[in-house]
Amino acid sequence: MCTGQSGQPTSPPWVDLLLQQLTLAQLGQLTAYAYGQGGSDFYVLTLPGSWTIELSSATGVWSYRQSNGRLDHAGRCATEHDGGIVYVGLDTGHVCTLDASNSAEPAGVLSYMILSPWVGSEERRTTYDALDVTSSMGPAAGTFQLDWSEDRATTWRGVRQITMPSPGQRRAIGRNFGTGRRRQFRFQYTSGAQVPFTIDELFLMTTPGS
Amino acid sequence: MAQINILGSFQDPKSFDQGAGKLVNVRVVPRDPKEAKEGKVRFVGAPGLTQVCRPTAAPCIAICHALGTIWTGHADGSIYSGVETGSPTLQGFVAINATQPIIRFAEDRTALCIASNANTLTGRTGTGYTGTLAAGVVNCGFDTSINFDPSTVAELDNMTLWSAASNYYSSQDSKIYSSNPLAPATVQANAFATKEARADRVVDLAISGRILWPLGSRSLEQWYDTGNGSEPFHSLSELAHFGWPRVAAVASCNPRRHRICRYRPPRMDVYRPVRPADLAAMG
Repeated sequence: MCTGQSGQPTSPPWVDLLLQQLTLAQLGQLTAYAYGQGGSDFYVLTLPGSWTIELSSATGVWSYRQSNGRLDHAGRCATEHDGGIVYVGLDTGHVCTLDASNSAEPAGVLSYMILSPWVGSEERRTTYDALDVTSSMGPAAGTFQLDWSEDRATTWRGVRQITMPSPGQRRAIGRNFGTGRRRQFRFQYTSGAQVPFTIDELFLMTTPGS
Repeated sequence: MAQINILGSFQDPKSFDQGAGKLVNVRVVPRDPKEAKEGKVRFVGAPGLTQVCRPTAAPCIAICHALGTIWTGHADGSIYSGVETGSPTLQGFVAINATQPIIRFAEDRTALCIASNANTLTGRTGTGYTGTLAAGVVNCGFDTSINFDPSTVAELDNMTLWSAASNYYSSQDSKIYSSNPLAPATVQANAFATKEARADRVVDLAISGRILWPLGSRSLEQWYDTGNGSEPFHSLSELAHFGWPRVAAVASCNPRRHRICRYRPPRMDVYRPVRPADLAAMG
């Protein structure tokens, strides 16, 4: 009886560490809400002024949320109205509807960022040859910024502005990143010229070194 | 030349390396296997927010559907209705703890049920209110009628459940009062249950899948409606012997989605209620 009654952990180790590093006073400030969109549930946890992380129940993956010009996301509560429209209350006093065809909030256009996990190795040098992308956004989406870091996202190097290949095509958006040990690549889109932001495939081509 | 699938690193939600990688306003969405692509997921941007209204500059900390309209509660204690129309109506104010304002809403067929985390009479935990379009926000008067200062509210089977009170009135912090059906402010003095498995206080209530979840300061239980007696709610089981819930970090989704999240160091847990068939089997 009671299948599924026991708690199931949903936080990966990095979320555990994020929470463990909070003081008692900060724990008391945590605020959360949940909402549904597109057949999935999302749980949004915020440390006001510091960060917001969002859990997708469909994938179990957590991601950060940020409103324009701040570290956290402005959303504080949500409800579903008749017809499935999701209303979100913000800490600015605004009441908004969730809009997948829009990249803006009252505070401004959303910025999208993908920071890759570490690639390469600490023991051996790697030649980073190219970064290949497939996206349904296409060249009309405007420019994206690509750069990389070797020091835990402290300093960034190799900044370049790129455009997406035509939808359905796989194309190298950057070549000849040089040789190094571990790296993280960062991909940013801030113009909001086209929604939804979509990256279908992202491959890094490398040559192992010595 | 080797090929590293960067999206693939985000496929596994338990991946340690996700701590180094980071997605901001970007979600991982599974791809249809029929696409037969090497990457099993794609990245999709989070949705935007289209402004409907701004009733006040005070943070909106609670929102709920009731009486055919949407209500919001703000950090200054103000309660508004009709926010979905773009022309909200101020329905009144509730007492609020200015340090960390918390307002809980529950939808009854006859009123919006409201609990706030301050009480002007006791100086303690909370106050229960109802909100209607005709009368606005009205104090339920539980301090007088049942010596109770609830700071949370939930709704199940047309009964309004009030809890998370202080002990300003003796031994009330583990009690859950239930109202007469469709009368949120009418609560009989003997219509209460006590969270009994552990002697800890009730911190919050959540409803999911027609199961009532009293979240205690050190334990978590499931209760269900037997349909019998003046207090029909009975304990189903005790889930966790330990915990550290933070009242503002509890959130439950739409009841049909059957999910409750709860934070207790060092990790976040998600709970699902038992299936209705299990309840039937239990008799």
